This record gives sequence, structure tokens and C-alpha cells, in this order.
Amino acid sequence: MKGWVKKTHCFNGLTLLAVALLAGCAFSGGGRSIDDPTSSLVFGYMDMEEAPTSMDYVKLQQVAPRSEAGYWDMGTDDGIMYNQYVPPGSFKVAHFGGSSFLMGEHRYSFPTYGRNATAVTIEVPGIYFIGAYAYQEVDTGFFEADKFSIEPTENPSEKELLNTLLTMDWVEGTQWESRIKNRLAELQ
Amino acid sequence: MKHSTNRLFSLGAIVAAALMAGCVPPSAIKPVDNLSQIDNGKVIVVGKIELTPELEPDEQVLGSSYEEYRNLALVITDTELRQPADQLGIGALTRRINAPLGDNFFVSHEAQPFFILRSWLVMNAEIKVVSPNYVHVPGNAPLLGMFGIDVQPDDRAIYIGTIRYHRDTFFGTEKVEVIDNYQQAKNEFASKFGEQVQLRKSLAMPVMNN
Repeated sequence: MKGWVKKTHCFNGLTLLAVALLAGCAFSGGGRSIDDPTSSLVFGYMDMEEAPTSMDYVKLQQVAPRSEAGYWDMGTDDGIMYNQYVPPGSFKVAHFGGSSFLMGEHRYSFPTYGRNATAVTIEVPGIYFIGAYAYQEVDTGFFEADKFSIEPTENPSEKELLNTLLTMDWVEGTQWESRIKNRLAELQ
Repeated sequence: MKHSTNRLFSLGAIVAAALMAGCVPPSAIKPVDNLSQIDNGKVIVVGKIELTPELEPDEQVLGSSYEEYRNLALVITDTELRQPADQLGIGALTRRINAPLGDNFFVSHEAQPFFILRSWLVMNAEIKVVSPNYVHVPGNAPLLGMFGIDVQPDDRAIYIGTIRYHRDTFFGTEKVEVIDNYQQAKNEFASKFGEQVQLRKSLAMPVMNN
């Protein structure tokens, strides 16, 4: 699945500051309680080694049921993307982005219509692994927009990522502590 | 945290977050209403595009300048088989059939075989005021599937069938069918053009997945 890259700034101190504040931040769940049993944890991983920037934010598009807002922020931490408040419905990663001092701010977008590899339909609350991927540049013509693709990788595994998620501050003392442990037990 | 993309800020940049405002090229493939519009070397192509599930009434977000794209499939054709572009470009539109969803279309085409490369629906086209940082995401939905259309030298009119695209929740193309509704099309053709021209059945043939 190919997407396209948009460079939005060469350098903008305010933007970098804002991104820094967002990076790895905790986020609310659109008014949903973290212990809402109807919520699902959706998570995945993006290796940005070959990308111009790191991955500082990820937007999860709510495809169905259609809603006015339409997008959910995912938390990011060293390549992991996650949201633990996701209600039943159909979702896919719409775009992600980040910035670096030299390369500026970049946004990596998938087509709005059609499936991509991260597409997931949630009918039953649970823990949904949308995969681990590596960012790759795609050769384009001189006058064409920059493009990228994401290629599936076997590492890190779902189990490794769940073990990392288990150490995050937002997990302790919530329903997710047991739900993640239960999922890890299933993966043994 | 949910994020609304509808809150756009007026910071001076006006963007046509839309289908190529004011610069959609005319297509070489024109609709026809009577036989006098068919020049030598041309053939009438009859067919229909269907989408299932159908579009919901509010699913296309079109500004008043773009109403002509409501319930309309842009069927991109070429006389050569090639991989179509990932995005709907100006160049592709010069050889398009404008196909109202669910209705037979009647267009003139060069009397030579051609291919349907991909079809598109314009889902989001409006002019709005946005911030300089706004990133436009193309709002066109592709309908995948390539088809070959056989045209014989002595053809005056051909029927290519109903191409029915099945979409999933993500607007991915799950399946494409070519349905033979020849008799219904023939009756409509006769009422439009009379009985003097024969409508030959030449159903669209899938050539490969795209």
C-alpha cells in the first residue's frame, strides 16, 4: 500500500515545540473511561529507520460507523502506536507524521478510500494488533510527489510489543493490566 | 482523543480542496442522443456502472460547483492496456466515460478495441478556506478492475454490460461482476435510436486485477 509524503515546513520552532509536547503524550479517549469494557486496544509498530523523520503522531480514521469527528489520535512511543479507547467499528491508520531539525515536518498519508494494511474491524472488544511495518521510500519521477510504502516486518512481535505496553504508566491499575496479561497468556 | 478535521482556520490561503477546480478537461468520449452525432469511425458504447452498497445520500460531500459529480462514475479508458495511476489525474480524464450510477450510458467511441482501466467516484470536492498548513488529501474513491472491450470494424453500437462494483466498509473493491442485461439495454437503445442500428453484445472482459 503506497501513500504520499507532504513536507509542510523546513523549520518552524513553534511546530517543533508543539510536536515535542505531543510526542509520547498521554491522551484522552474522546470522553470514554479507560476502564470502559467496550473499549479495545489497537496497537502496532512502525520502523522509521528509512524515513526522513521520526513518527511523532498517528491518526486513526474511523471509517464506520461514520462520525463527525472521524479521527482518533494514537499514542506513540519509539515506533509503537496505540489507542486504548477504541469503540466497535472499522478503523485504519490514515496518516502519521513527525519532524526533524534538518528535514522539517513531514506528514505521511494513505489514500482516504480503500483498505490499507492497518485496516481493522472491531466487533468484539479486545486487543487488536494491526501489525509491525517498516517505512520505505518509493522512487518517483522528478515532478511527482514523494511517495512511501509500508512493508510488514516480523520484529517486533505482538508479544514483544504487548510486553512494552505493559510497562507504560497508563496501564497500571486499569483494566488493561489484566487484559494485556490475558492476551500475553494466549500468545504463550 | 478525537480530532475534528472540519475545523479549518481562515489564515488567508484559499485552497480548492476539490477536484481540480475549473480545470477538468473535456473528454474525447461524448454522450450521444441521436445517430447524427455518430461520425464515421465511431461506435456507440452502451453500458452501466453500479455500486453496491449504493452511496448513502450524504456520503459524497460536494460543493455547489461540483454537483455534476454526484452519483457519477468517471470511467477511465485507454486504447492501450496499462497500469492506471494511483490518483485521479488530469490526463486520465481526457478519455473518460461519464457514467451515471445505475443508469445506462450511451457514448461515442472510436471504432477500435479499448480498455476500462479504473473507475472513480468524486467523494469530497468543495472550495473552502483553510490554513497555510492544510494538507489536501484527494477525495476520490477508486473502483478497481480492468476490462477489455472488443469492438469490430463493422460495429455501429455495442453493449458492454453492467459493471457492478462491490465495496467493503473501507471503500475497497471486494468484487466486480459483469452482468448481462442486454434485453433491457436493447429496449432502451431502440427507444432512443430506433431499430435501424443493431446493438451487438460485447460484454466487458476482466483482464487482470489492479
